[in-house]
Amino acid sequence: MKPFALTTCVWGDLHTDAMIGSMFPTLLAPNNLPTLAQAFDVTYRIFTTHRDAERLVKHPLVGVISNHVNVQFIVATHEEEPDPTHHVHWYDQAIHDARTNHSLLAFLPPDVAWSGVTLGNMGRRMAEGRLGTAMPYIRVVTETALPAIKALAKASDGSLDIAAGDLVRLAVEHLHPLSASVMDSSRHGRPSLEKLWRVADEGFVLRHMVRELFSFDPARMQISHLWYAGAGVRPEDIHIVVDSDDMFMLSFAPLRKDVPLFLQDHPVDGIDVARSSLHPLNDTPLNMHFARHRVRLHYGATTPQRWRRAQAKSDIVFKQAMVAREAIQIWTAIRATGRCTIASQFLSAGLHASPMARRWPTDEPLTILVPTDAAFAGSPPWHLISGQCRDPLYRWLLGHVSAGPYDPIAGLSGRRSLAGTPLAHIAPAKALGVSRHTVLLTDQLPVQ
Amino acid sequence: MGDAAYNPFGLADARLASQLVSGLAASGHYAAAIAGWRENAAWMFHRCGVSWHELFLLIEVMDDFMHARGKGDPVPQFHRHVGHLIQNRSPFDMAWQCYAVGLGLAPGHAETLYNLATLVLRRGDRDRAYAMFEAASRLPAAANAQAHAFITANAQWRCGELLEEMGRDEEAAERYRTALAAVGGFGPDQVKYPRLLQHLHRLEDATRAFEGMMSYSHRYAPEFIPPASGIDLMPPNGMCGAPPTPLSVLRVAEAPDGAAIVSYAGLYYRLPPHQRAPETGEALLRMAVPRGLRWIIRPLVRCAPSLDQLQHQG
Repeated sequence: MKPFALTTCVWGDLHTDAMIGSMFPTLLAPNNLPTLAQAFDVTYRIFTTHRDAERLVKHPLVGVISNHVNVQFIVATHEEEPDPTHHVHWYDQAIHDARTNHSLLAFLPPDVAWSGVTLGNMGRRMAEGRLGTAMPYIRVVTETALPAIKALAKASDGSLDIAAGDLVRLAVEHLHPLSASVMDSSRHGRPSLEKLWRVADEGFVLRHMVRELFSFDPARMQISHLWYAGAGVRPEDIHIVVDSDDMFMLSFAPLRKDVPLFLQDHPVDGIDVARSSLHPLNDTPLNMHFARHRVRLHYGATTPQRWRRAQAKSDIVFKQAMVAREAIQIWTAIRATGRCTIASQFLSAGLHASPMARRWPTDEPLTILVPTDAAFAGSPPWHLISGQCRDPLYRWLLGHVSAGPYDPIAGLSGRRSLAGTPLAHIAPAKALGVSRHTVLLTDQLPVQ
Repeated sequence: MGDAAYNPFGLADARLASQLVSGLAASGHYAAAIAGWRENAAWMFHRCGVSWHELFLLIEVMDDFMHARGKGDPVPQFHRHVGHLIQNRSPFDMAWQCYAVGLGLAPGHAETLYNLATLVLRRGDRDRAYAMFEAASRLPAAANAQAHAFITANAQWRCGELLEEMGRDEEAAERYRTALAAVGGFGPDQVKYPRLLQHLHRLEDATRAFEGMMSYSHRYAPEFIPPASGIDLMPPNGMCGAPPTPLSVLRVAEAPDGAAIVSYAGLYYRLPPHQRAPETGEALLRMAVPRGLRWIIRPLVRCAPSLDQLQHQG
């Protein structure tokens, strides 16, 4: 059987308590660890401190887990309260070891609750040859959620089987303000790569720009610093969960976690998500692929009309996010040329002071004409930056863009801009590839 | 919420706290030591205020979620537990009161002035809030302020926002520019600067300012990033992890001889055995001050004494 390494990094009462009270019992649900253990040669490694290893190794649930998989405790520090960055080093060590052993790998955070089928379904996807899986989760308040889960009736072996729908309902009951703040209805936001839309009585639509991988094959793919899919991974290599019935978890956080992060009186919008997605730690080749997925987190019956309405709202915001993301990528590229400072300024003004991100008319690859500073001949159309010129600025930008890829042989012959103006007279000086688009630097201005 | 509660510099509790300091002086403590207590106590009140202020924000976030729920949706446990957390108090009022007392003890604390100004603004008193942010922008940040708090730049930015609301656009733009020069980026809020420049028809400046929005930045809420001071004097949390109430007389321990140890305003008191603890700070001080505050134990502590220490300290 293919080796499969599971890894948890844990120390301290807060996290070990959550692991024993919630993570282990839900891990032991029949279609979680037991199912995974039937399909793979599973080793479960727990990186921890001396004190917590002593406590955990004697715990009855560890004994039950050992009946299914090989459990190893790894004490990798002499400190009892190590620096929080330790868990990153330990997870990185797990990646290195799994790569060496040609083993699949999944991270099991200590402070979570799994739906009853999550690990089994994850194992099936990995057995099909996927390089990785990406699973949604919702943050819940530790102080209320953990006691509630501890109070649920367990099987005789200590396992706890929570149906996905019941887990989503628990997410609502114990919702953490960090998750509430990315709801469409929240007046206060926070930096985020995701946003939620409420479907009354039925659940949430989740959209995200990227997601850390739950499981992956480190021998066959690159992993980023934050465990996102790295360079060279194709969209079809990753199984992105789009329904909570497939895989889902709750992630515990203390009530007051990260309060200084809140953006008061600023709801999360598409441009925020785009900017966060381009932070170097979050920028991955699959971000646009993730952004196209509507994820359904639900409980009870689902009413198609309600879900369509929420999904349509999510489409509007995530279209804005995707347009903004690509606009910022293009801005970065043309600014780096050092020859297009004026055009780069107009692009940034267009993104923030015109309806461009909201109304962009196409999702096709584009051919984008970028005038050099010389093209403006000392008189850029500054009047377009005026607050009264939102629509003219947008039209001016559309006049520089043609739908479809660029053919160097045919040039711009017969091409028209998205504003309907002819482009045939433009002679490109240089071509740059940016994402799926072609940027043509030119010393001429398109006809407006 | 009576108006008296909103007088940030004339609170009855601030008066009591000052009375306490005077009492310490009368009882023979050194001036430098009293100044140290005053400084620490001011930060303690600041921290308690932050604790209530955080809760005020979290309640708003969760209220927004509640408003979007369906009839059949579960009610978040937060709403069931928040009553225990706030103990029939208004988090807004409690934060206000704590900051006000902190300022009464140390008027030069920029962080406390900033925090109280956010509440004053929230209550709708723009002119008063502006004066307070303006003062905060000119005060030095605490020596051990956390690096990402940027209290001076944030106060400048708030001044810019309020000046813009008042129609003093050129001054507002200058405040925004100053704040941005200090921190580089203000997250999504930063868009206010280029939009104001647009409004002022400084169009070339506006385009350059819009470019500043293209890279990721974040503005942390400085009101929730207290300096490292004051935690050693924090009174115990209330029930269910409720924020501390420094202006309540809190019974924290009992000594073997039956003496009660109570906390009030950042100090610990050892009441005589079998003396019933008074319910208000005023009553406590009425008992303590005439006696030269001899019941105050370790008033100048830099680290909170353990309960064991308290119980055995005569």
